[in-house]
Amino acid sequence: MIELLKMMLSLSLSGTLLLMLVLVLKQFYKNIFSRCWQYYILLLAAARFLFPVVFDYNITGYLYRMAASIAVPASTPDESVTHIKDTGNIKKIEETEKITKEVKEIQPDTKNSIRQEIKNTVNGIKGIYKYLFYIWFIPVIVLIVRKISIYQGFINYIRAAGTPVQDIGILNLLAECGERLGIKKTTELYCSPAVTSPVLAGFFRPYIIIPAKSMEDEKLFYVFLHELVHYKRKDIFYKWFIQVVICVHWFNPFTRLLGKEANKACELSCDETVISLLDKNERKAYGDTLLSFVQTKETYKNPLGTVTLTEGAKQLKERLGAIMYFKKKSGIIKIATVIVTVILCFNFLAAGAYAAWSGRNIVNNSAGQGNTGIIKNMDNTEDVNPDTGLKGIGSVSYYRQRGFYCSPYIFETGWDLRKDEVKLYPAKAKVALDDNSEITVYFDNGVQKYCKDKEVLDAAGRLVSYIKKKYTAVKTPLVMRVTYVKTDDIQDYAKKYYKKGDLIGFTALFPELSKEEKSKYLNKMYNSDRIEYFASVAENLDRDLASAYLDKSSKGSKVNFFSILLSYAEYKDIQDYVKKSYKSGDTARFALLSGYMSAKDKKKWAAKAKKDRKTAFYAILAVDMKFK
Amino acid sequence: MLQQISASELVLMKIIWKNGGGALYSYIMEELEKEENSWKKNTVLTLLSRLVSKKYLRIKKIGRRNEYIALVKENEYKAEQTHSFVDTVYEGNVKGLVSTLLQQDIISSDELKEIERFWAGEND
Repeated sequence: MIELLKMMLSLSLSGTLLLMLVLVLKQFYKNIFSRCWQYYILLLAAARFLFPVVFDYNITGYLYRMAASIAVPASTPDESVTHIKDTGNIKKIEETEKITKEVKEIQPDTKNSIRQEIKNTVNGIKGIYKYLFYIWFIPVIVLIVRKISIYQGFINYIRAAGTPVQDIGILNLLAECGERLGIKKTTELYCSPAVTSPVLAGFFRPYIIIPAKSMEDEKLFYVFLHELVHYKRKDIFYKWFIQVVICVHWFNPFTRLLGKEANKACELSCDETVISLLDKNERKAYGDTLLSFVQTKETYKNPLGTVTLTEGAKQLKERLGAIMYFKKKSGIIKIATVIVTVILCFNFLAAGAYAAWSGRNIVNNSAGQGNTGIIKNMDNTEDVNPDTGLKGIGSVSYYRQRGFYCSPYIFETGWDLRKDEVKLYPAKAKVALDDNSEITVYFDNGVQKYCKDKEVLDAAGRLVSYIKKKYTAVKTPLVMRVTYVKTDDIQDYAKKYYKKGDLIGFTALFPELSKEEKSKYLNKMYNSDRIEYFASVAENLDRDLASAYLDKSSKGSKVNFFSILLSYAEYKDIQDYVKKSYKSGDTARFALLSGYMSAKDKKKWAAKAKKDRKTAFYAILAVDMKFK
Repeated sequence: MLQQISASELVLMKIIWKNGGGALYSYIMEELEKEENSWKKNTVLTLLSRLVSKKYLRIKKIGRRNEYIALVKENEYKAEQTHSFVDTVYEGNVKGLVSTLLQQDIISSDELKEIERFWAGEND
């Protein structure tokens, strides 16, 4: 449920982004591109609101690139699997599934640590989520049911008042229009005093309802053409799709904008299709017909989900203008249309990955390079925005947290706590740093008693100085855990923590172990696929150990270990692996490596791949270059 | 109780009845052309589907072609129509109908006698 809620929120966001992009671009292509295209491109935005999956990628390289550098590091397991399955490379599926599994294993750990460590903020969030889920979900159902019943009511109302048209002349006219548009199926025709403007309604056997007042044949001819174009294009399904989007995203006002835009685009593009069949005089007559149906007052409010001839006078001006200035599209415009389509589709996918990413509850430090997503995640680097409970969206500062050993204590420390969060921790103490400055250290409720312990404060001072040196400027540090571990006991405690699954404790002690011990543990982790441990300690690995495992993981199936070590590898080594993976046709590793390549190398390899006709490799690099 | 059908629907029904209670769509179109009705294909299909929904016809699929089978016999239809006509116009008084027929010379006294003879023979 929580996952679904989060996914909905992120879909709402990415849908809105794509919609905004479309609307901004619209200012440029409004009068240039075909109206029909403008209409269907809105469907792309609408789809973005509903589908978390990225689909239909035909070029293998794109597939892989997406899987390896967006989907996998951004940790969207399902997606990466789907993508890779498409490539048909079974080996890769296995690898990715492994990653997926591991990522799934890690998730609870990360979750647990968050829950423990920022108790006060997160406490009860689960309950709130449940609550929020219902607050979201119940209106969705209510709105959908309401829309359907309004529609049904409308249909019943006009049908009860309506009779099938018997006039053979009119039926023949309708049949003629159908033939002209190449529609094989028949449409039933009703005449009802309940409508003031012609309406197309019904899903699988749509029918046209015309007002009861008598109409000249010429007018009817245009009316039929217009409504049959709607029928042919299945606009009713389109409109209901938009309605579903509006219901699901009822909290997002932009979906209403989408609805409005779609309605407008629908009529404009329908007009476009109709007038493309007409000559100049007929066009004018068509415009006159539209004018004659302007609704001064509606007899039945909101003919929702149906397609009427005119939806209001406001729109009419634009429609008539479009009719007057209608031209067939030139070749250049067609090409431009294709280009904009491609751009928008790319954005669709990019936004999609984003949606799926935040929906998956996997933490990604967006400050890092694409490929370091998993690693940073398992490094207990967290960015949590307690207002929304959504990670990575809209939070400016990143709350980071991990375990350290500062003789004789294990500290679990976070820093860059947000100002409003600081208030939750009343226990604090001023601590002196190496450079003689002072910093306020906050203590979590469980470790309040230490805030007056001189020895602890002393060690905390050393720790903060160390973190400051190693990472970045440290603000508002928070201590969540203090465990006393004598230097002699480190080995025993490390063993205990590893067994118990205390990732933080183990990570803190690991750098203090002897090389032999380290090597032993690494081997264990590597063989039993304990990637969360591996990732946590990888940062502080001795050079030779790191390169040994980098080499080991560069072959075989453990591409996830490889990916972790890469972010700490030397550039020279990376270049070597690039060469190797290219030679062996290992697109998975090549895609990972491409994230670390210099722009120059990328160009070089792209040129080579192009020359060698290795499309997959070229695509990996080409996509990358386009995005950055 | 049968539903009322329109004049054009009746034209189609007559073609089908004439053909022995069942007709292919193509046959119906041919007949219509003979009668110099310039009905469009979809117009005919619409009327036929109205007859189907009024339970006058059913569709029998023969491969990809549709055969329309009459569910209502011509006699049944005529009887039903006559009854409803007598009911609505003559309030159920058949004598009134006969006298109108005679007065208006729609039926001659010879024809009436013939009918009487037929009626007596039937009852023997």
